[in-house]
Amino acid sequence: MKPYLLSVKNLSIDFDTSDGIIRVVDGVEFNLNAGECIGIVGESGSGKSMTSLALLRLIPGPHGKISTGSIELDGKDINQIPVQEMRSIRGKEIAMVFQEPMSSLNPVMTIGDQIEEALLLHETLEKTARKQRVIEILRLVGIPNPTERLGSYPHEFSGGMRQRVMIAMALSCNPKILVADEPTTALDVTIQAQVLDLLKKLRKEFNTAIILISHDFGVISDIADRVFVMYCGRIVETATIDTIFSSPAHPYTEGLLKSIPSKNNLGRLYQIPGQVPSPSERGKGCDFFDRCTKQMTKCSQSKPHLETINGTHAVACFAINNQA
Amino acid sequence: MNSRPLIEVQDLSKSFLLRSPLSWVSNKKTIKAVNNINFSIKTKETLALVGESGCGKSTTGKLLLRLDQPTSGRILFEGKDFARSNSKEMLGIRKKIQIIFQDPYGSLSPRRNILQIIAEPLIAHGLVSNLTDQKEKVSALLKKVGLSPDHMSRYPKEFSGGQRQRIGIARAIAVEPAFIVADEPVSALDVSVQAQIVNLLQELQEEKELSYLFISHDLRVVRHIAHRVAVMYLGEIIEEGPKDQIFNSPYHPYTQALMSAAPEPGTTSDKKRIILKGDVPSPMSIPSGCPFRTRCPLAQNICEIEKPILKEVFPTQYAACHFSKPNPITSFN
Repeated sequence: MKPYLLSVKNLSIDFDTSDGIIRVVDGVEFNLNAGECIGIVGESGSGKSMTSLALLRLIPGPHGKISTGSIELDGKDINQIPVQEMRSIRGKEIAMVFQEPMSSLNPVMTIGDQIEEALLLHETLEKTARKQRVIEILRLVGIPNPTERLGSYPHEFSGGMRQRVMIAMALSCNPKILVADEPTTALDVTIQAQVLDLLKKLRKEFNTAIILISHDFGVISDIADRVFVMYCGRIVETATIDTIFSSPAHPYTEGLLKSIPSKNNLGRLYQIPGQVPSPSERGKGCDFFDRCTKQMTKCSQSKPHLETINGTHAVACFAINNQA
Repeated sequence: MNSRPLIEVQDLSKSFLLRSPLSWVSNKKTIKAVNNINFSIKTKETLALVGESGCGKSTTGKLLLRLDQPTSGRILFEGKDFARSNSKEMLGIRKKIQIIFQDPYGSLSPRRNILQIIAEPLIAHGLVSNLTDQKEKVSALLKKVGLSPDHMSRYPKEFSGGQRQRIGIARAIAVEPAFIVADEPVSALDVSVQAQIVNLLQELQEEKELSYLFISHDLRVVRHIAHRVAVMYLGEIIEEGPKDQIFNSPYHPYTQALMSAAPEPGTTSDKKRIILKGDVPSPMSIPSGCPFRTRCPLAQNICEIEKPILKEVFPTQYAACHFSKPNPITSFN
């Protein structure tokens, strides 16, 4: 079998707070093949953004740290390598697109210089060749008149255009993996459609693998092949896009999908009872226990692990796994 | 349903004057944020105002509460124009019209507890006599929106986003208004919390015969909650009609693009999607003729010269376009 491009095993992230150590990501595992697109979906505080930051070792220190697990890129654990070596991977092998196109660009640097920066660090190109490459990428992401826009500053661009600049920057060194954390959340829906279309095109043309983080099932189903549902720092279900919508197994996934208004869901919306427990309220049992419709005694005693129920469909729930 | 409109907006416009930051430079520019819009809302009806950022939907909401002064036009509440009313007259109107804000974090004062926050409109309108009365009314309101009256002495920071939005709703319904402007009330919330707030808004509408102006960019929520939908683009309403018409056979090419652009969970990407080219033009330089012509797939010469007006294209559905036809293929599925 071909080895995975990226393989995350038993990843846990801890934060040291005044209330003690809080585990924000707990035992996350997933694999990614070249050219594949996976989606990570979850609500605020589910740990999806922290997971994405961990892939680039950008967990905000000194309080946060990866406490267990490995992140293997082409078979090498990038969690163990020296900082210097990590710098050569960031931007070159794994690149990131952040949510906020307004605040993630440097306001006092022209966009041409900002994109060129990555090329300066990672590639050995002549000055003119570098400039050519920048123009080429800007054209690729659909910035009109790229040659003239090189000298423009971020404030001269609209939100959608800035997001394109961010994507251009991430793509400048042909990364194998693009991590996109809520890339369209700050954008209007017609602009969102443009950006999603661009991501699909890049995947097709350059075989870039994409990890898409989003709270929006619509965005995920538009572009991803497989989806991982996170709740309270753990993956509770994973399946292909078709399976997750046709037969969600975990009570949380099921509830979440039922609470989205849609054409066939016009009456009173389903409400998942209760609220997401804060990290200090989480006990030894399943984090979804108090809100679950299928709770059993066992669920309050230990946390269920992901178990395959059918092909690539895995779910972390005692009620489901006992039947299977 | 009562046939007389509760709220009527006639030729409402709002321009903002932009001055150059260099005080000696005298090139003043105006931004037409809202340009001659008309709509009406009946008792117990929800009109949704949809559109992208900068289209003027929030400004319209603020004008209805006179949080911004309209440049021209009339706003009628139960047949009476209050677009030029003074602040004393406005106090009476504001008892009937309330607002729910988008940001559940920024719209509640962090220094006041829940009792003070919810009792404030009651005190301002002289609806409570003493502290016991205040507590009684506030605890009834808290129960109504699904919070425990024991939480009265807590501060906003102790609540989650969804709970804060419930507090904002309790404050809005405290004075028993007839009409509520809800400006993106669920946009800042997680999906599962969003469902709770949408349900709450619908229950309150049923029980208190409320009318809503529901401002949102989320078409899924709009389809769920609205009776009528008005689509705004660069300060103008370019299409308006009953919800089912707007979602199932949108007429204006912009509405069609908007409906097709929103990804629907569970459908694969083979869906025919109209992808518009470019961005919304700056409101400082609105294109001549039809404001949408710079991005419109159907644009022709006439669109540059003559501005299309709203015409009835289907009973009670209006659209402003020279060419378009209803396009059921691209509709929101």
